[in-house]
Amino acid sequence: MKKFKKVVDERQELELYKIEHVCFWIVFWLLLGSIIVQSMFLNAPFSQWGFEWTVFMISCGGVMVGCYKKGQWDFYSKPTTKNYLIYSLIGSGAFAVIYAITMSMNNAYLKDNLLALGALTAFIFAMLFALIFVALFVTGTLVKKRQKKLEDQFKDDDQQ
Amino acid sequence: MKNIKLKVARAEKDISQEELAKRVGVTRQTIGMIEAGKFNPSLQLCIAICKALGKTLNDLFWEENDNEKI
Repeated sequence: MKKFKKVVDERQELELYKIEHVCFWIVFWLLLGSIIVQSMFLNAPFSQWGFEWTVFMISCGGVMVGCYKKGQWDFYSKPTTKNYLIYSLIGSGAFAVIYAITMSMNNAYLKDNLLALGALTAFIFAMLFALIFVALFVTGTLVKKRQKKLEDQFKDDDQQ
Repeated sequence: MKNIKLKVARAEKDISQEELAKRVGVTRQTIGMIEAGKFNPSLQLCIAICKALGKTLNDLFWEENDNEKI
């Protein structure tokens, strides 16, 4: 016998899942924002925002493992090279802009030398773009393989 | 889309939303939302509702589409 018996019906369960889903993503993005503000804008030491970073990474890992196990990728896109490129561009572009702003705020040399700041930002953008693209490519390929495996589990016998 | 058939079947049996909800193990709000077309029940719940009202899935949950008529 289950220790905690559910007392909600299927509609209530779905609504609770939706509420928890929305709240999870609010916390996720706020946590990311908090880490960026502390680490990049305020130049705070890792010891100050390290715990938040750990929690954030655990939630990222949890989502990744869960999606892989169930063969899921995203609500709005499929794991294709085009989408990897789009997401990599958005992610690296957003981070590069934040990086450029914080560097110009916190670094006196880069503040006065826009060419160096631009070059450094372009380098960060390129590195991050490659990193995100590779990460998406690897996870996307794994998810596609997993989807195929899960599909085959429920294949009709007469189709084999 | 509102599920008038369910409402009619329930009225024919003289069963309240509360009573039907109790019989199929959900809340009254869930039955109300199914009738109002605001919630799509699972097949399992559809079957439970049909059994409670002595109807078939066709009677309560099948929408006739003119294009599909032969």
